[in-house]
Amino acid sequence: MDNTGQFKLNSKFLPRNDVIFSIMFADKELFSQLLTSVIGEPVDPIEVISASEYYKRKYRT
Amino acid sequence: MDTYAVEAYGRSLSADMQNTYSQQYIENRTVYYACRLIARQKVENLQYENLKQVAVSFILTSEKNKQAPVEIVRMYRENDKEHIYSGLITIYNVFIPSVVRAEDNTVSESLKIFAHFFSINTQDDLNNFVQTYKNYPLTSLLMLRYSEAVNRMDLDQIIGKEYFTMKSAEALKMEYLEKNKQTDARLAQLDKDIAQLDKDIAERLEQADARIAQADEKLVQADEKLAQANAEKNKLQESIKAFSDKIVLIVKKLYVNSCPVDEISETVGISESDVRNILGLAN
Repeated sequence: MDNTGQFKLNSKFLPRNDVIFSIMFADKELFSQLLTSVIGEPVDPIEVISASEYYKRKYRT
Repeated sequence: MDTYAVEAYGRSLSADMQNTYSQQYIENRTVYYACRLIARQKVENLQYENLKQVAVSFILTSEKNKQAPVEIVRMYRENDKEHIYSGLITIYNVFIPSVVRAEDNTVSESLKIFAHFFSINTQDDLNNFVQTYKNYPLTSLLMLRYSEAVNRMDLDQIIGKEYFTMKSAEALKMEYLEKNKQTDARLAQLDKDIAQLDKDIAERLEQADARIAQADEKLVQADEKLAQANAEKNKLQESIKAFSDKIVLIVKKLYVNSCPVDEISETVGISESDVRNILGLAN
């Protein structure tokens, strides 16, 4: 969001960018809402792991 | 996979974003992910009946064919499509362009919001998105998480992770293959067009040859008619000359030699009445 209160698009990282997707949807609430809208029934994950988090844990970097 | 989670009762969930893909690529990849989520589960004492369901979701942003907004894939027997063979695997392929196009009542409002969000390409798109869906809490959450994601200090570090560099390389490969495919299709179309042109040219040449042959034939016929007309003309001219000579002879015999008409008639081989008629005309 800029000074005028307008949300700014980062043209290098569009909302469909897979890295951005992976970061954004590691959020439990957003992940749940996305999968609820896709599957058509409520989902309630314990924890959401993103690809970057998975690699972080796997290689401890 | 981009994101995955496990629910309290054990169901595994995954969600992936895919911008470039081929159909077979997606089919195999979704099955592979589903199998991997199953294989991660521990099977104790061969109790396979205790395996938990997995749901693999792929968000597909590019248009291939006009598909239903959400394609749901399950396992059925070959001879029984009514009953599910195993409910372990469910795959959801979400075709974003189809969701955006879908009538309002065919997909949920929240899925429509996600689809429009993933379709944003420009600042104007984003402004329109915020304006259209400003009354939905999901819009605020999406914008908040997006702002946080693009402003993360460790974003470059995340992009550099093996998984994402592999995904980038894979996306480039897909684009390259897609372009190659398009080029091959265009070349094949050009070959087809050239073959059709060759066929058209051959047909037109054949038609032109037939017309030339017809014209040649007409020309020969015209030459023959002309030769015939010339021969008739010559014959006529000869007859006129012979007749003129006879007239001259008649006049000469009558007026110079003072021959009687019966003698003239005998000399020139014309009846006496004809000689008299000719003399009448001459006078």
